[in-house]
Amino acid sequence: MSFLVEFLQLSSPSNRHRLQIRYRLELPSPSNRWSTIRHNPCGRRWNPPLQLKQEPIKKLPEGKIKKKQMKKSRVTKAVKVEVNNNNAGWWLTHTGISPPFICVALFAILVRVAVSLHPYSGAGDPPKYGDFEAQRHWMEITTNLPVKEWYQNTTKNDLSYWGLDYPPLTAYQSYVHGLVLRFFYPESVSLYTSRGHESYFGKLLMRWTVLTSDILIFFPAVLWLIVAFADQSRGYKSNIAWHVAMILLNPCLILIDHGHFQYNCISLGLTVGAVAAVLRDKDLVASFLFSLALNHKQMSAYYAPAFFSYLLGKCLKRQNPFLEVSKLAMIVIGTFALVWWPYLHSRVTVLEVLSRLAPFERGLYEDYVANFWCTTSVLIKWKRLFTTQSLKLLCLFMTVCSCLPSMFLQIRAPSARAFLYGLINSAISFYLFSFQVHEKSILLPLLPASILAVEEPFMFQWFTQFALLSMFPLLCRDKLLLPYISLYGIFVFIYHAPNGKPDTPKARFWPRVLPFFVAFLLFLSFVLHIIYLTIDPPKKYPFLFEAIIMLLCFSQFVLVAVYTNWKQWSLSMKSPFGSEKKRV
Amino acid sequence: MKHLSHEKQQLKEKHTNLQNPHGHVIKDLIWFSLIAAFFKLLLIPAYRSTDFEVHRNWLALTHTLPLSQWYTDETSPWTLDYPPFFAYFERFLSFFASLVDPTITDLYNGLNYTAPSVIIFQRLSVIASDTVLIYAVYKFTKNMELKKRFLIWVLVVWSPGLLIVDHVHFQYNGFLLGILLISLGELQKGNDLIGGFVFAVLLCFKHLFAVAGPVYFVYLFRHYCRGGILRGFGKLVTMGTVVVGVFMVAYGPFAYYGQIEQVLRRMFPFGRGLCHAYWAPNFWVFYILSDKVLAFVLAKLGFHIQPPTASFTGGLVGDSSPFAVLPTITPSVTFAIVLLAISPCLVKAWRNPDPKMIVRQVAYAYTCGFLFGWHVHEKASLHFLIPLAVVATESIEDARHYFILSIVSVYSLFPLLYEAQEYPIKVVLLLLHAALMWFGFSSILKEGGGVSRWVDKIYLVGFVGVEVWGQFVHPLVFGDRLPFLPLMMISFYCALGMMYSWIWQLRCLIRSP
Repeated sequence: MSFLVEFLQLSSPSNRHRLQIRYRLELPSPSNRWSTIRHNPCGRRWNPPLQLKQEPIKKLPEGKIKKKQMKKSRVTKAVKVEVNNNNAGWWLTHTGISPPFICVALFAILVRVAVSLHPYSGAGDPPKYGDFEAQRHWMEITTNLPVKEWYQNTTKNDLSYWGLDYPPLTAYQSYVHGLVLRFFYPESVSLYTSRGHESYFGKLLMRWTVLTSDILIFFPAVLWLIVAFADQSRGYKSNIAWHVAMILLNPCLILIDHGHFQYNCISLGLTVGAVAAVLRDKDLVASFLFSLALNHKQMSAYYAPAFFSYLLGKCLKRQNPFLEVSKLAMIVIGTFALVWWPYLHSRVTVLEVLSRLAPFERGLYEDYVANFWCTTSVLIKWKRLFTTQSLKLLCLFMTVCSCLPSMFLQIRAPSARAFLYGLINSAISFYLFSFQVHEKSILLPLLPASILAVEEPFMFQWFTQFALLSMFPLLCRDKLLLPYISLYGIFVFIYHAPNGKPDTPKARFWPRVLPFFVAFLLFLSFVLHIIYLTIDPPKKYPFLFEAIIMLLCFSQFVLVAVYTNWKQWSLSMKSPFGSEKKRV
Repeated sequence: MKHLSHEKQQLKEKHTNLQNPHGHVIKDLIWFSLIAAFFKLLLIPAYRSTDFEVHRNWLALTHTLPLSQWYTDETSPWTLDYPPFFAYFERFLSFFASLVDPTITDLYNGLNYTAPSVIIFQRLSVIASDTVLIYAVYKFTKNMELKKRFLIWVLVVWSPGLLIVDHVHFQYNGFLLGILLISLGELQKGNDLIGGFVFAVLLCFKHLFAVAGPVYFVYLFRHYCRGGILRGFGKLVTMGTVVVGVFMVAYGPFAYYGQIEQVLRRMFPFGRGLCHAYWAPNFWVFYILSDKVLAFVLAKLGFHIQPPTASFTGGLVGDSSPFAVLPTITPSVTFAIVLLAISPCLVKAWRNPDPKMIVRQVAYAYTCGFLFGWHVHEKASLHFLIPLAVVATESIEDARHYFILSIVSVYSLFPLLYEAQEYPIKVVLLLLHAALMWFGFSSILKEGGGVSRWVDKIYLVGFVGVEVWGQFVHPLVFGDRLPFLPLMMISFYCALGMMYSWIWQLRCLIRSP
């Protein structure tokens, strides 16, 4: 166990800069919010535990820091800090929030635009094409048919050809984007005739809809998150550029959204917004945003246990738990009612939509996804042993079991920091154990990991590398090898930014074996890439290499899951809940 | 505890710095340029101009034909019109190209070949040849303080102009400018002989760089050939031998085959017009526009104006003039004006050959060539944009000037990428560049206020107006009519900025000691 922990913690203990984040949310009693501390000077000031007291504020001991220009507002005008230090790798890192954010965000947009030059999934591949055609078809359906027929199998809407199978918010988004397409290029969304529509301008318009959704939803959410982080820790400022780059330049998300073609940026952006709201202690906003995310992609339910348990745990600690819970419930129900409004007039229509959202007929797993069911099916033929009905129950049982510990810890002692780990835990247990998981679902556990990148840099990059590897066969099929290499390179190099990179691993345990183990796994994944590209698999096992990739990725994902669960557990053991008892 | 470990690390760094003072600079620069290189990979499938096929054809003809036919071959309309070293360079690349895919170097079957192999190979060759530029930047910046060094890397390695022209439009400017920077760096350090040698090599790669020839000549004559008549003469002979030697290596084989005349005819096609198809933002834009305005006004006043029969962009057709009122411009006139414009700089270089000023003087010469030259391409603005980047961090005045010049120059390259697909790329590139310059300059330069004054700001905001007009308002108002108007506006508006830059540089040179 300690081996594992060290393995994933590798760099963090000695990582000077990044460890400086301190969450003031970890308060003894959750009713005593840090917001009250900030805004209410008369309120009882909570003494942080000793460990938190020695917050290393001197981010550059030798640097002569003088504030030259006072900021007007935090975001619009940066505090100009002159640092006389030759060690400061980036001049970008030592100014306020907006310069690093603007520069990194512009670079991230540039990379996205450049990736969108490449092919999308199912380009020139009739009769079904791929996700690109699915999204375009939804725009065609939503702009040409009345709302009530969107989820109905009618003569005008053939559900067997890429029928809508996402919640209504996706449908509305398709409608808006469809209107844009219809305005500029009506042929690309005309009913019937536009099936399989592929053109230079059509592709561009579709690409630009993803780009604008990303810029309008994901980017502002990240900015809000960064502001929330920066408010809580002083030492964080020097890491802003790096952290923003880690979140915005996550190769997996860019490749899937702007290469393969999907709108994950919307649901993930809403989730990031919800996380930022949690960090800022705005629970109602958080539940509103998360409900929206759920209504954009049902896959956002991967995060539901974490949000549910954290918010519930917080409510229970308040004076009037029932009132707090019902407030949240009202928000959630209200949001759902708003989004589902056109379908609420009869039970039939609601069930119609619901049945579209749960595609149980598609089987336990597709392709070679690195989750429990697919990996163990090498030995145990689940699909033959059980009926779909019992498999569904089994999946549900396993998923709930695997995220129960994390939920329990949150309900017992909710803390914002542990909540971030809880997000990874619940998302990854869904990825590993739930029914009908796709390779792309790895984006969901990856997102909270990227939010935690400042604290767990090594874990995050390790996770990203294997998440990328797990999607490699999919991206190869989409002919996205070139952007795959390029984004991989950009990610690795930005991760190892000069003076921003984590220190070399210093393990207390098995000091020599660990780096060797890391190097060996990296080498293995490199070799797997090469083999997959160059060698034809033996005829008897046409999917041999996919299976090996899957096995390797599965083992690493399990490692990550165990580590994050342990981390969440150890955080809640150290949580102020216990320390207050001691003081009493 | 943390403090201690930090100190320890600093000690360690100090120690390593003593052993290899520039080790960390190299490491940082490699890190920096690899990110750029990985980004350039993403641009491989982007739009490419006919220059791509031009270079492919040169690969094929240098690979298949003997040297004696390189400058006579006319299989493709894109005949070889660069000096011999560039042809040798293509010959070198063609060796690898034929290994990758023999069709690339096939003179006939390879025509207009667009397989992935040729696209990836040629794009990668540009990315790889940028190493020269990166080496030059390293030489220039290794002794600078960290922030300035980093900013110069941003300006040169991430130059949107180079990205647009080299990695999308397709050319090999990066490595040619690298050679120029190496030469300038040697001059700055006082290694005049090497500097002269490298410049001679550059001239044999691309003759357009010859505009700075007079400046080089005067500077080297006054700075290198010093120390009495005898010693000076000896040095003059040395320098002459080196330069002639370089030219011998380049042109010797062709002289052997008696083709010098043919080579020169290819390199200097004076059959072209005063302006390129899209008017480069230079002095002639004002000249042409005032001709139009005068013709219009005079016609209104009742004078009889003969409408011109020839166009500025085409060649000189017989004796007819493309101008209605103003006198015709011939190549020799532009040549004389360029020389006249450079002359203040030559006088300065004669009176006080100062290594500190050489970068500015050479950049000024290229600016003159750009503003007053014959058939100038908008891409030629890179010839002074990149050298000026290495002096941009010296003072607040430099930074202000560079900020404007860089935006003007990059914006004037926009019409090169006219397809919709690359539109967001060029816009975001310019925005990113402007943001990096803005934050970078303001974090480095403490004295003398902000990066731009209100006049600059108004001028720069005008670009948004020009762009919005050209992209959105013009199609709405005029539809398909007057398609040249937005381009004319870009030329005119950018030419204002270019004239400003020229005057600023001239003033800067005159004021220098």
